[in-house]
Amino acid sequence: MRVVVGQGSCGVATGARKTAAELEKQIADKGLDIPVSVTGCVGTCYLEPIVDVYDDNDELTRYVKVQPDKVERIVEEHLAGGKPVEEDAISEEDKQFIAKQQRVVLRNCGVINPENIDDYIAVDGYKAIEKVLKEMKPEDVIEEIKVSGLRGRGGAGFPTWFKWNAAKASPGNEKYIVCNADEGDPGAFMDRSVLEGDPHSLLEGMIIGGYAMGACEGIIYCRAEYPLAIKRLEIAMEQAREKGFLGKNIFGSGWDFDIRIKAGAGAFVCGEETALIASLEGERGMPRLKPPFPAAKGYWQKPTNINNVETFANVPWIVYNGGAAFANFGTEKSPGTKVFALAGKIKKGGLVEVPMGMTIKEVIFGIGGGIKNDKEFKAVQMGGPSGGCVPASLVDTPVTYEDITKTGAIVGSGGMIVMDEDTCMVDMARYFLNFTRDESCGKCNYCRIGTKRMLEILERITEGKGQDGDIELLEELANKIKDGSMCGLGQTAPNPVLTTIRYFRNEYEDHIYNHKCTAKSCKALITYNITDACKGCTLCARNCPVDAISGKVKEVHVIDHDKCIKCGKCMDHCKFGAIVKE
Amino acid sequence: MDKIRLNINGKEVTGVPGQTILEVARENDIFIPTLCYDERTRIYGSCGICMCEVEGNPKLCKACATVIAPGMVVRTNTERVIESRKTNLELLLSNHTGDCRPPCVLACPAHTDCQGYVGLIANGEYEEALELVKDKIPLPASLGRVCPHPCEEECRRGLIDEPVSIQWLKRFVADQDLDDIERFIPEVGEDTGKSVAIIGGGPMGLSAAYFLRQMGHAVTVFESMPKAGGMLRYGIPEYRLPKEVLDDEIATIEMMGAEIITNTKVGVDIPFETIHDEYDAVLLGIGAWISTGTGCPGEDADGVIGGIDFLRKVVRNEPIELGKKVAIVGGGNTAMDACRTAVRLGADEVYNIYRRTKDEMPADMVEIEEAEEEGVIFKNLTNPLEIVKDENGHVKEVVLQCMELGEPDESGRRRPVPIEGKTETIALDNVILAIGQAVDASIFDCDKTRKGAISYDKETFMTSVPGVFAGGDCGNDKISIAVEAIADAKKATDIIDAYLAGETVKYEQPYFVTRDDITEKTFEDREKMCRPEMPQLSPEQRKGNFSEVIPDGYTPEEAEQEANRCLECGCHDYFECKLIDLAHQYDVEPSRFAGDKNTIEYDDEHPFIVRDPNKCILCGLCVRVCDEVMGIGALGLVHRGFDTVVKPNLEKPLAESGCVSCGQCVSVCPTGALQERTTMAKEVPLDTVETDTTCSYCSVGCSLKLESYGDILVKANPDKEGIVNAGLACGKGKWGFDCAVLEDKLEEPLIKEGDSFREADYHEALTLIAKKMQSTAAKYSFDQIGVSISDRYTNEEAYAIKSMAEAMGAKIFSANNRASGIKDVIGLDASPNTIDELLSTNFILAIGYNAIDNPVIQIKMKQATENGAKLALVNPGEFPQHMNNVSKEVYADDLGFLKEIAKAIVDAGKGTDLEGFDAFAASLEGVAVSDDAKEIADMYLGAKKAMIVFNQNLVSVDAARLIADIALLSGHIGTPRDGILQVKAKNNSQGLVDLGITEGAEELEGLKALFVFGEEFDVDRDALEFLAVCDTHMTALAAKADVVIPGTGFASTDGTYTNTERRLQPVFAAIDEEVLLSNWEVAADIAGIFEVECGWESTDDISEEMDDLVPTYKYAELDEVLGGVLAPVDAKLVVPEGNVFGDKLPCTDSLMNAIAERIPVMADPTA
Repeated sequence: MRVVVGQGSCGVATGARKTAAELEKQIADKGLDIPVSVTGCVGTCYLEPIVDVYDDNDELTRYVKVQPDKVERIVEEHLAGGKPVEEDAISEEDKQFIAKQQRVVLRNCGVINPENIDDYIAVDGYKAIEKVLKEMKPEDVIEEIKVSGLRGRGGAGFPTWFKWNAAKASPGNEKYIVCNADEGDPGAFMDRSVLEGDPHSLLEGMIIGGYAMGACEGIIYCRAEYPLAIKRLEIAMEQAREKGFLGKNIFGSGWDFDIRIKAGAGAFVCGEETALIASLEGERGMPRLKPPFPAAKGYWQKPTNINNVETFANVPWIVYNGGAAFANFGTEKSPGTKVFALAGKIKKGGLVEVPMGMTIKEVIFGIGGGIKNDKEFKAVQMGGPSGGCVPASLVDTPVTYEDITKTGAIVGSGGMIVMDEDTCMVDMARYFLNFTRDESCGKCNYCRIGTKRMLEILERITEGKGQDGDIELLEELANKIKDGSMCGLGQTAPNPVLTTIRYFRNEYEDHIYNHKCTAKSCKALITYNITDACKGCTLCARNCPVDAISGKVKEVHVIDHDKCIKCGKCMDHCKFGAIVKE
Repeated sequence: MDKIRLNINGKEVTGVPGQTILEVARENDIFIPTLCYDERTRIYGSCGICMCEVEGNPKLCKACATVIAPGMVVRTNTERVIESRKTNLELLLSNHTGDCRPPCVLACPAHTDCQGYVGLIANGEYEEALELVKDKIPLPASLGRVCPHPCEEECRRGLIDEPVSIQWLKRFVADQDLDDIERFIPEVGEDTGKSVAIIGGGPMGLSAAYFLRQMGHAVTVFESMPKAGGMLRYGIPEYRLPKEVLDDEIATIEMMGAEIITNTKVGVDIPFETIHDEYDAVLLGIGAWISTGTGCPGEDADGVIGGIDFLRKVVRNEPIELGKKVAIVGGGNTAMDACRTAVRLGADEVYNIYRRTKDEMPADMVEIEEAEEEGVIFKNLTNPLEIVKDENGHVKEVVLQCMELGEPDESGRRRPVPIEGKTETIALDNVILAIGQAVDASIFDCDKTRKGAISYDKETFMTSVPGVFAGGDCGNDKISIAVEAIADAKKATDIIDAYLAGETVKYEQPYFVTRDDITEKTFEDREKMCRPEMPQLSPEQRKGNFSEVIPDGYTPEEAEQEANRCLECGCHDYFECKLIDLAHQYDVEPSRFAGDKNTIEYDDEHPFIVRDPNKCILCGLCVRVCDEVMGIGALGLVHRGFDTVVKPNLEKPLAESGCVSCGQCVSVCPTGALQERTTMAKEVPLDTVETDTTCSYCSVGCSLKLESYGDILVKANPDKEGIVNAGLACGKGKWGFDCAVLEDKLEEPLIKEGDSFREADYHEALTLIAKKMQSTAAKYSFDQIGVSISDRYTNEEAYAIKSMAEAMGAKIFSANNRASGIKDVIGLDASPNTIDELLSTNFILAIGYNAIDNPVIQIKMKQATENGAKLALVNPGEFPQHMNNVSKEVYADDLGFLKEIAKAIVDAGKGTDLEGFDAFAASLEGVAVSDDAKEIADMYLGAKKAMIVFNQNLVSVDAARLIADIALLSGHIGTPRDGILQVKAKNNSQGLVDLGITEGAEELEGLKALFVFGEEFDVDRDALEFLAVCDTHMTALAAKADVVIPGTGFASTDGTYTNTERRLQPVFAAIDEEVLLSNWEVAADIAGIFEVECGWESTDDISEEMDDLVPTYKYAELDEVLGGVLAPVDAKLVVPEGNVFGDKLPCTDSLMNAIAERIPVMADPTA
């Protein structure tokens, strides 16, 4: 029997370390000889902390939301008594969250111990690179990747084999393979999950890629905000070196290859290839013009290939199982699986990996369980701040690169932020633009000043000060910023605004011309009023932080709109539904 | 290499692979604007202004970064491109804080460059100031007296104490000009064959004539009155504007060829149709000459006169029956003029009737105050209800309605409201109605306004009759001031000029960035300093006569003092700002994007560089040029997004950031974010003139563009097309250009009397020098008189001075000369190779090299290493360098190490057939070759092409010999990119050698009389019986002299320099200095005393003579290297006599020493 506690960042954030400590303590107290080990995130972040108990037959019982107070009973009844605690175990419905997925990238996440290379080896880890080094020429590897149809999972979806081949074809002996682990999209955390839960699959993917393109060194550019990821990567690299999988003469092949980590300083723009390279070189993280592409002139002007974590994590599986097996998943033009990070107003937030081609509806409703509190689904923001919103009317769109692009959004790194009827789409656009405006490196005028001006216009619209012509001005600026910016950040920053205008123009018009926020979310445009349903319980008045509510006991209360700061506390506290937002 | 053919804007052009669209477009004269491109830096592409469309590409492409491809079709001016650029500029301007132009200029209807002329006055440049005024104001002496100066209303000095008295300063320069024998008369344009008739000789018509004559059109002014001047003459009393002044100014316009036909009323004396038929265009400027009344009963009484009619009658001395009690109705300047004229005509009681209070009066406050001082009784808040007549129908009294102030009206002034039933009656003899004026345009058959004025298009100034234009008061429903009429004249004549050329243009108000955040608080730390008091006649002195109230105006001292109060609001870089230039081209409207602006705190303490990051557009040029071109990296980008800002390294003050004051950042900055701190007394934004010349401070010979305005040197910039420097320069060139004319410059010859000097005239001073030199030679010998000359002087100056020395029989030398070591070996006292050869050689061996002396050579060496060359350095220990790309670096105290290198080369079996080999090899016997020496020798011998670089005045003559020996031994000599670059000390060191002035400071020995040109060195004064110095300033040496002659600098000189690589380079004068004789003229005049007539009229004559007599210059061409790569002549190895390596000769050039003191950190781009 053994116990595994999910300790990815999501688990740690919900207190998994305390749970694990409690488990160890109680197991010791009871004198049991049951090891407690660590694993990464299994994807059901909404159920953390998760404790997996494997019995002697390796049968799994998964306990969810295990705070330390639940530990005693599990130890007592299950670990000591051998009888699973049914009521703390995962429900059948929640099991479906994983059962409906097709896990390639996340195959080991939440299963193996990321800090033990033997766990990875036990699930056929490092078999792919061994096969490559013993049986394949670099061009064979590239051919295999070509057959798989793998496209870059970081954003643009560029065919991976093509990039590798371009780097391979570039003249020179000094070449670099770089992993972009600077996952910066708000709401996307699949790379973190792999880094924390299965670092060896990334290392193996990079070694394979390095061999294919003829690189002398690999560099992982990881955001400094992922300390756990960096720690586990360092452990993994150390263990891989000990095994001879990294360093000199890998697998006795005579080929030398090592990988190092460079911690990024947390600039979103450094997710852009050329800015990432500038940052690696110790320069300010600012994009450079392409061409020349990194495959020709990248890190220190040497041929360089950059892929993100998810892309690399697919590689060992593809090489080991064959490209065709991978291409069996997904659609013809968008083969394979893709990890999505479900967040926002969704019942079951977390990571899901599905074959491409599944519809948005299936992902959100089939796996994610639909909208929180059963509110109405309004839209989903796909692809992070660079993406766009897909309205409810297009919920049957299949998740493929081509179909999502047609909506004005992008697959991007796979962020899906779900919005319900209470989300103001103008405010949503403002939120994302605020992000990109903040993260603009400041090089291109259009991006630097243009996003700022767009944000100011959006701010004034949400504050009820929108002017006639503002929508047109936003559209004009948006298109010119896309046209006039050098890198992906600026070229895509206006997307949330353009897609919300495209699908929810009426909301913009409502704000500007009718001084109304359709979703009743923009403070400046709503008022709280008390209806006749008020029973005069005084709860609202007592909870109002600014004493804006007056009224006698058992009489209908009144809100002084001059004082009201629209915090909504009265409405939250009213038990009679007597307070309305208009 | 195959050329690539592409099409840009319909033009078939070709380029080579790897070129960008921008580069190819520029080569083919297709202009693509950009704000962040500099060919010396790596492609950056931040500004996005260079966007263009490439067929087949759905996105816009950055021309600076898009590499050409075969068959490309590029369009650089499509609507989409223009829109993108326009919006881009609007965004930039929406976050740009500053005042393109100062508030005074923007407030002036004519946009007179007030800051410019006030600043020029502060600099003592009165003539330039006047010319600048007259660029916009043809009648400045008149306007300087009567203009209500809207400029001063907006002057921000008023937020501290009082506005700058811009108007009186204008009067000051205008009066100076009128008093001058040679009055300024603008240049008249070449005859266009077109003619314009101007109807009306008022300020509008006269100004139009003035502008049209400058454009070359024939002009006839038809004036109905006996004299021209319009309202300036007939509406403004003599005590404000003496008619003599006006006459003088009109005379200037007549001198420009404008014909003024007076006493001719169009429509009466000559039909309008005749004029319309006979002239190519007609401009109506008939003004508004009808006095309007109040409409109250009794206005038809005898004794009621229109204000303007009254003033006109007084000017024309027509009889006026003025009684003892006179009331003037109205609150404008005409009313005040009428009041004060009535006082002067002897009325006992003069009333002013005005329906509001004094605060609302449109008249100047000073007019109101002066009227009050003269006894005018103000009946404010009253309005005539009725003029009561006596039995003869003459004015008897006026009944006034009393008023109070109500709510503000459209004009913002509080509306006068009658107080029901409250009236007042005063007994009167006359009522003068100065309420308003109207236009009588009845004879012109064109569209009119509702009030009968001439209707014309405000953008084209054309009336409803084609070819007939109008301006000034005749087109206004409400009369305006003279300067507005003048402004109309400027705008209308520009349009007429285009019309006459068959074009249609429209007047558009250009966009300017302005600040609205300036308040009294902004200036609270400024010292209060009111205007100098303007002397004027007391009320008693003036009220009985028509003498000018302000009789004299400012003295020059007062004017300069007053001008110095200017706060310099307008951006100093306005005239070179690329941002505003593009903004005007693209007709921007930045208010669309009004929003937050960055406000960045910054230090501004660099001695030469003024920073204002709030004007920065983040093109990154300064950062990139500092890093990539100069290799310094003193600037960097900090923060990100909208908050990005350029800051000095580690956020230190710029001067402490590693900055070497080369000024490249300033030269490339497209806006005013980085500016030169000029040496002007008051910094003025000026539309300067550029003069191409060559820097005089080191032997590289950087091409410079000197910017000057009149005789003010403003700034210098390296010339990107410069044949040697290609845009590079160091602080010496950037900031040293005006050293010769800075404060305390000598302007008169001086003769020592006792312990001090007295001013003398040239004749006396030059004769004294000649006689003293002559008598000393007679007393001792000709060997004991000498002339020394700085190696900064041009070839022509040196030639002239040498001729003078020959006439005297004196020796000539330069104390900065060092005997040539390489000459002993390779037979040449000249650098065999040139600077740019460094860029293509394989190995550079720097021996005895100092980057601070010649930063540009250092940058070339850096470029060479980037191109793949290896670099090794062997320097005397006391001259450490900080080079980055150096393969091997050795410091040595004596020649031992060089001998080791020589030995290693000999050991390698080289040079055995050379003359002197045996002795040389023998001299090296016993020398043990160290590993370092062997390594350097191996690199040197192993290189296909190799060059040695050394500073001649840094190392001993022996060291130079050994250097030449090494080159000769190795065989790396005599062919392109393979040889020696001998870097001489100063810009014309080589020129002096070529002219035969080869001797150095050793010549001082035994001298009894010495005449020094531009040098500064120690002399034993007691040993000299006579010393004369010609220099720009009172140097330490000059202070010891018996006679001092003012010298001139290179910025006022024409001629040539010969740089260290023997390249003949042009020097052109940008200014005239306030010195009677230039350096060569001093020499020529003294030669004349010795009865040697040089006969030169200009430096051209000297050049010609020099070319004939000096063999080196026989077939010399400008910008060419004299003689190409030189092969050794009678080469032989020479054994060095001593063992000294480093031996720096102190610079003896006085100006060079002055700059060295000024620049805190000399450029040392060894990075």
